[in-house]
Amino acid sequence: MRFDTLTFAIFFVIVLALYNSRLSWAFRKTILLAASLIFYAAWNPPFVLLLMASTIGDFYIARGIACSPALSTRKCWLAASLVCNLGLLFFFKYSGFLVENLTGIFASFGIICQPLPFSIILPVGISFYTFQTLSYTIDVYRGHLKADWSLLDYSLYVCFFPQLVAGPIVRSDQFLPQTIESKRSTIANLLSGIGLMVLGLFEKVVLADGVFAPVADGFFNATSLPTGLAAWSGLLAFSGQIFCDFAGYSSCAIGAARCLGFRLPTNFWCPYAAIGLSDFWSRWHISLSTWFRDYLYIPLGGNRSGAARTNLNLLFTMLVSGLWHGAAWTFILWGAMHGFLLLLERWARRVFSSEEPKSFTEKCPTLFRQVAGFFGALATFGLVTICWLPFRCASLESVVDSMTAMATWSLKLDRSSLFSLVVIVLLFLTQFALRSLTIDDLVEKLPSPVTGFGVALMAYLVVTFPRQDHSFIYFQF
Amino acid sequence: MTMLTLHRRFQVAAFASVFFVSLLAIHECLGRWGGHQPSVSSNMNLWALTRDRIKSGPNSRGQVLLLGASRMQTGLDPTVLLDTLKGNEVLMLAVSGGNTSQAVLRDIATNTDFRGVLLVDENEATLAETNSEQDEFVDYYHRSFNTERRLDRSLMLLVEQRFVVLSPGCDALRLWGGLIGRRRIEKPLPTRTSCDRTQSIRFEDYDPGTLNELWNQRTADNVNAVIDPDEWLKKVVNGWSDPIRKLRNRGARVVFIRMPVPPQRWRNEKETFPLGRFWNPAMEQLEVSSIHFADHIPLCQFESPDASHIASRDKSEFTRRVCEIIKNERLLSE
Repeated sequence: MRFDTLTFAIFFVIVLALYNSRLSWAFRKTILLAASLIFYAAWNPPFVLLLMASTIGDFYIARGIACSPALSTRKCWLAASLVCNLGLLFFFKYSGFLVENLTGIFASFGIICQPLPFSIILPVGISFYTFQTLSYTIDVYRGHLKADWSLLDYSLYVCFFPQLVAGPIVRSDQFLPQTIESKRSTIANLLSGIGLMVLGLFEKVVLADGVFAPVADGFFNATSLPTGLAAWSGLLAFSGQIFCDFAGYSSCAIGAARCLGFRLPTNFWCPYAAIGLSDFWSRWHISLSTWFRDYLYIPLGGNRSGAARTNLNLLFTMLVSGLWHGAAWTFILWGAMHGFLLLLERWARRVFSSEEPKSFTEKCPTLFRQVAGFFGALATFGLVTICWLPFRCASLESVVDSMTAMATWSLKLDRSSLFSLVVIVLLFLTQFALRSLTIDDLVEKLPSPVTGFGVALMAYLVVTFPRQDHSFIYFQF
Repeated sequence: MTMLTLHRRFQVAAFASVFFVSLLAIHECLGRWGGHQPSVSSNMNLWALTRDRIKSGPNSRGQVLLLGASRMQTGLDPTVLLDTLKGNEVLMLAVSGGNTSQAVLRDIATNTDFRGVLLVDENEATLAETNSEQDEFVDYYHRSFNTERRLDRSLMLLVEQRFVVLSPGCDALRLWGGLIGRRRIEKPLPTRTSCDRTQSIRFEDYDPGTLNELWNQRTADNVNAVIDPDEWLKKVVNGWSDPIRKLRNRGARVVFIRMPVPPQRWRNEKETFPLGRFWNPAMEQLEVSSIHFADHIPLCQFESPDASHIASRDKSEFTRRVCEIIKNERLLSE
């Protein structure tokens, strides 16, 4: 079920009504779980079985880990969890990619294989819930978390509908403690939750689908590619589209959870105002980047084993992050580009911080620091946008074609591309202006009528903007 | 959370609700004042919802399916068809701008047990096409039209029929763009879609320049095209004969309709596609009944200001005449 549908609105009202009934907390949690399964089944009912199997499997594996005193047995249980979860993910997401590449490699040696044609439907949200269940078993293995939660609580953690399909990837220690005490939808939570959902829908329906998607699709899906400024506007539009689409989903998810009294972690915090790539990754898809940091980068050694090993760890983590997004060389290239840029940034920081003492920047006038920060953010935004090129292109060949189109000189621009350029500039400026503020800070600072009008305008545009039937981009991951 | 914060949130929510309702009310009033009427969005989901209603087996005998492109969607009136053909349901499956409806016919022949009547709007050019936008509609129906989309489209349909704010021609961009940029409310879109997917065109809402351009472009079509009739016929038979045979074998009746175009356009088209070498042999080889407007003077008496479609005011009369031909020539007799 998608947040931007009338069906979801009705579904959510029914869930809220049942959730706030006078039933026991355990029964109301069961209602939430049932609602979550219905929410998921709206896409493809048979995959609910897969979700349930994955949930129940990991629940008992974690119990096995917790009950085993011997380290070797605990390791076996953990290996079982990794094999089952990653195996399922691999089968559904990467097997086609592997077969295709192996066929190509064999063909280059003159061995012609003709694998039987197969098409596997990717269960929606599998990358997200697999990472959630994995984090649970790993945390239990590490002793960071006890495995004494009930199956109901654990199932609700994995299947909780606001974050089930496209995150944020919630950690067990963030969610499970919230299942202990009975909660209801308070007025304050409902108001802020609905406000967040309106913001999320505005980002998705108006900005991502209405303003950016037509221009981005016009460039990336065109049979004859537009050149010059039109090509750049297509790429910039995609930059805006992917942010608004994904941040919009996250806002809706956090808002829906808040309406029910649950707190989900922030997933985006003005990422296009980041100064530097490492700052970008602390603001973009925060739940995924922290997951990779805690469960991949640090276990690999992090930055504790010398510069060379640190660089290797960073690059490997970014490559895996690219592959997580999709089974294609374009995603791996995207991960590699981010990895190299992060390495470059680390090198630059090391070189310049040794030459320029910290007091230098501190001695600079505030205005100078702000201007430097602005241009730093602009440069980071430019680099991140260029990195989106392989992310959006269907193949490496089309990456080259798109780059050629962008390198061609032409100033032709149609009205919708110009409009999307204006909106992306406004988006960047807004994020830069609000880069250190949270939404709550902003609401507190602005006069109530202004905030009220802002929310009303966003809701009005959600209802009356020309409708496009675009799925959320991150559903495919 | 402090009481002040809660109080502030209440204030924001109250202001937001008042502003939101006011904005919607202003939009609705401005739209209606500017002559807009509720119209539904004609998209893949609406098509799929209609496709869902095709019945199977003997139950489908009373159904009339309309296939084709925009001329079918705008040209035939389901109420008149129901009255005259004594059917119990008319489903509009034509796709505006979708060219040949071969994919839809093939889908009905293969994936349903339909045994009713199919009226198929094609012309000589589209008959020989193999792929069209309609393939995507069929593909979408089978791959992506899930329970949620089904439910959501049905719910949206209920709302879209009542409010101008949701009409495709009266969205926020168009309304406020017109008011701010041109200081007037933009006219309604000339084509309006009803919930049964039929469309009506109000030519008086067209910009005269656009209409003129369309006319010139369409009446100049195909002047220099040379098409080999044998090649053409081969393509037509390859594409259509199997699904038609399948349908006929289980009792369904297929009638091809060539919708009228103005004499200025037909003059060019019949040079490229003479009836005796294209349409007539194709219908003979496919063994289907057909109505070609050029064979029936009553069908040629309607104006077509854009050189392609008849105006909505003529729809009922045109449908009545088509039905008369179907009855008089016993095109649906088994």
